[in-house]
Amino acid sequence: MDDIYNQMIEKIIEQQEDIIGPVAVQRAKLVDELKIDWPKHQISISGSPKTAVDDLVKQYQVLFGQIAVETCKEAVASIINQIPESERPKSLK
Amino acid sequence: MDLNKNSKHILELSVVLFAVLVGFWVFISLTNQNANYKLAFGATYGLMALLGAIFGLLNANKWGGRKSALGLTIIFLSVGLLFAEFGQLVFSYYNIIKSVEVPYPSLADIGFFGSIPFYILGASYLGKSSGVKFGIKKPTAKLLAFLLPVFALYNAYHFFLAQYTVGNSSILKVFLDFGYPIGQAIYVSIAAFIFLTVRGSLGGIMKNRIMLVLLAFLAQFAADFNFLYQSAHSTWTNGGYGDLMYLIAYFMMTISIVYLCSPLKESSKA
Repeated sequence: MDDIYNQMIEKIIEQQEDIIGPVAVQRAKLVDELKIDWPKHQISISGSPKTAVDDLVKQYQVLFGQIAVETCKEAVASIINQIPESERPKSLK
Repeated sequence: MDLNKNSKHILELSVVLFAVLVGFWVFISLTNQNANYKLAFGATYGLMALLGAIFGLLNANKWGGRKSALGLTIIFLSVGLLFAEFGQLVFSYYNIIKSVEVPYPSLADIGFFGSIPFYILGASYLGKSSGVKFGIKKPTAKLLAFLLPVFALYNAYHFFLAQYTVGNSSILKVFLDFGYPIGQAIYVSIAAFIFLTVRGSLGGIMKNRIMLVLLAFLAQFAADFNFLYQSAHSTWTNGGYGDLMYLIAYFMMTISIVYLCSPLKESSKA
């Protein structure tokens, strides 16, 4: 399951990187639960993965508001079904 | 909207340059100076566009440069300004050196007409940056996507093309006569569409920055529209209010690029 969360986070950052470039990674590094080595695309989560994803989405929401949430939802659309409804991050429901 | 030190300096420089140029324009307009002053104004106010273009090109990398939608927005808007300044300088060259009052068509059109595709590209990438694709799913947005260009093109036709006769005009002149209003209709439609579809859902730090760019597009369109209108009615005068409109448009585009390029403060943490 952790692997899916890692993939979600990677996809969200990639999608945001297409829009705002390196700022996407800078914002992701502000999330306390995440440790990111972006050149290697390595992500490790410490603590709750749900909280990590929610906090990451919030970082982008600060920039673009609800539009950023929609962008994040779109980024994970192909893999979010692999997580049971109850385990999904609130921000992506 | 917060700015870092570098952006603040450029913003201050833009405001000072704008104030000086507006002051110069008011002086030559109120005191009825001879044509040389007006030509001097025409030759210098493009500096505002140059300032915005250079700042944008030097700072687009902060947002990913050509690798991101926002970076490309900044690059295309900056190149558009650079083309506009090229047009201004060549136009002034014809005015001052060759004594041609309205050089059209001329090499100046490489700059003026050349800026239009870059503004269209800039507006398109701005749409991508601001998430316009999420707004377009709504039925009203689909209707707007159809109506806005139709309305803009109808206006272009109504004001500039309805009474148009080709006569002995060169192919280049006919192409530009059609190309200018159609090109301007395209970028202003895209800008208006972005505004109408995302104004409700776009938020956060970037909202005002993006709205400022949209406002700059409107100012650019007003200046372009006025130029075509005055040219069509033979009322264009160098150093007149039409040039002031261009100065305002360049100023707005420059400050919108400054705000767009400005990096985020750490205090903007979620």
